[in-house]
Amino acid sequence: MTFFEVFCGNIVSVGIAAIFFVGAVIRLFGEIPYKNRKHYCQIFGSLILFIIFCAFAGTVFYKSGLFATPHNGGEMVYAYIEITGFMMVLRVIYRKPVRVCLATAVFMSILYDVGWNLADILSPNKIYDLSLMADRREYLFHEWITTPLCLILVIVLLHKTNSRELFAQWEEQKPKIPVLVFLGGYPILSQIIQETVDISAREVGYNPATAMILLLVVYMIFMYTGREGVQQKRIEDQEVSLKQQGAYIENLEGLQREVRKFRHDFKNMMSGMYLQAEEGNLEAIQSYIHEMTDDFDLQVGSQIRLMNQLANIRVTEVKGLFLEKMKTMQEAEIHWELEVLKPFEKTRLRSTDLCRCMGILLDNAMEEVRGRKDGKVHIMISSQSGYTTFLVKNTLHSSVDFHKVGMPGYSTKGKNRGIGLDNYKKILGKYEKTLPLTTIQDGYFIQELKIQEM
Amino acid sequence: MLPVYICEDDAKIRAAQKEYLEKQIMIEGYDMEVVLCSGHPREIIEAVKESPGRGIYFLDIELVGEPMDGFGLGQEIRKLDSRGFLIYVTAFPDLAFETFRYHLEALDYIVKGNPVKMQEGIRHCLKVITERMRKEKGEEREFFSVKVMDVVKHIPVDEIVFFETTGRTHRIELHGQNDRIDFIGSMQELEEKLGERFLRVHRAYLVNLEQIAQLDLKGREILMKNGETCMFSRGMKKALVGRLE
Repeated sequence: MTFFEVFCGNIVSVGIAAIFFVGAVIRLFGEIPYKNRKHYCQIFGSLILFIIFCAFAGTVFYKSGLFATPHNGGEMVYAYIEITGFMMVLRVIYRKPVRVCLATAVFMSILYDVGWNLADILSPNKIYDLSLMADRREYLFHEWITTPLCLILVIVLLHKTNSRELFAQWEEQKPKIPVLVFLGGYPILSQIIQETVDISAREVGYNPATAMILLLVVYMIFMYTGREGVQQKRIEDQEVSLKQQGAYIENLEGLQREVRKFRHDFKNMMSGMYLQAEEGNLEAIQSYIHEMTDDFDLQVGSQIRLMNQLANIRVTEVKGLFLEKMKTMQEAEIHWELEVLKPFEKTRLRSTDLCRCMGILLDNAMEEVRGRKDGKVHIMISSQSGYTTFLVKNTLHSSVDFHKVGMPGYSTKGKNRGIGLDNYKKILGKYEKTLPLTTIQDGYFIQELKIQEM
Repeated sequence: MLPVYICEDDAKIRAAQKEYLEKQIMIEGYDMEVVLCSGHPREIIEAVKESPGRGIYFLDIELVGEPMDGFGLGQEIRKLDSRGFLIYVTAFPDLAFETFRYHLEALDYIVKGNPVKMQEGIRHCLKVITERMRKEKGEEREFFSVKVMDVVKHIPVDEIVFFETTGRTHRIELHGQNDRIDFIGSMQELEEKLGERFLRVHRAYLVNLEQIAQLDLKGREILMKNGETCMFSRGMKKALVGRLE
């Protein structure tokens, strides 16, 4: 056979494969987007380029005897060429990220092999000598008639098993590098499995293929359970944020009630003031005004102030933590104040770690002042010029053996306590450029956490 | 004499502040003088630059239409006058004063809505300042200053118990009577800086000799006055005993 003949034959085969690819991909991704002439031209052009290039590569490989290299080396290389080519075509058609395209191209290649293997079972003769006319005819019949039929079957299967939804789900998670590496190894892997099966056919007693397949199954189980865990976490996160929102709304409602109450008082005061004004009693009016501003501060001001400060915490998890603690402190009637002068947008610490640290500091502070009338907790978050400072300060009511603070098991609250600060140090130990400070000053116990952000 | 600066964008309040301050200074005979009243922070900064030294600053926080607010002005002043007294004046009582105190070592704040309260606040501040000045004259305590990221902490040297290296490079932990501070530094530099009163008894410990309570020569351990213990190395035993006698 001449080079040209082989090339023409290959063009038909690759063309069939390309049509299958496109058909299957439409099943997976849905309709082709951007319906305009230019886009169609691009798709067509890329497909034709793909077909010609693959066919050419195949012909060269065949003619130069590369397909006959040991361990199917040539076929592997060819498979990679095809995958890469189709990945690029996919890029043109759907304009999705390269990772998705790559994974999809590999998947297509696997699907194609499935269809092709199906057809292979149907063909009686498995080894063809393409230089013989009869053999060649059979090969071509197989390649051009049975295979396409089987491929159509695969597409129908794809259609029936809502593969599109599954694929969309998978795509949403963004394929990770290890997955891509695994997928990218497909041609090599399939060859390895092939050969292990071959070996096991010869040797009795053990079967590496079984091990490989089991490995795959286990891998899949891991992936699945991993996803399960991710979903579980997502549900928990949602619950937390729901709780936070609940707390937020509750607070707003409280504020609303107070405003209503104040409005009532306000009206009374106004009428009182009006009377005084009629009499021309300036002093009484002044005292009224003072009373009113003081009342406002007392009743509504403190809530508004707190909300203003909370609004400056832009890290959702931290805000959630404070909302939760706010509730407990209000229930325990602890006097507390929060200061966030400038918006706290982000920090280098992972928010879970930061929340644990802050939780420990806040809990300790709350424990110390709980039930004390003159107890106060003061919290400051300050992010300035590349540094973030968290300061938790509480009035000190019991004497602290200062040097033991932070040692495991030490607590002013009896035995089996005091793991908190030890944990706190451990968490911070994971990070560079974070400094914990502890001070006792003017009757206050002060814990500081400083983070260098850059 | 302490110069007093007022930065307030409302001319009426500014005048009221100045008047009351001058009156108060005269009545109490304080060694102070109002040198500048302005609505523009730039003018204040220029004036401080021209006559450096310790001053008293009454600063409005909300400076409408100016390039910086009271906080920014405070930062600038701190660069020029690290020991001055900053007093903030605000219309809103919900001031984040802890932040001001933390970053600027601000002395106090005054709410200006109510003239009676404002006057009371001014009186109180002037009193506190004179008291502090008097105290400072009396004692000559030495302070150890350490930069912890963006703030500087001052700890009385006689309150420091010991320094300890932690497991992490260049990280040193200061153990004080009332402080526990992690900072970045080197033992060698500390040794040089603190001099005679401290002894490097171990690779990991720099100890304040005055804070030692007891020596355990066998166990090679030092019990400090606050109950903490440090190790000392074999080679330092002689020096240690010698210094304590």
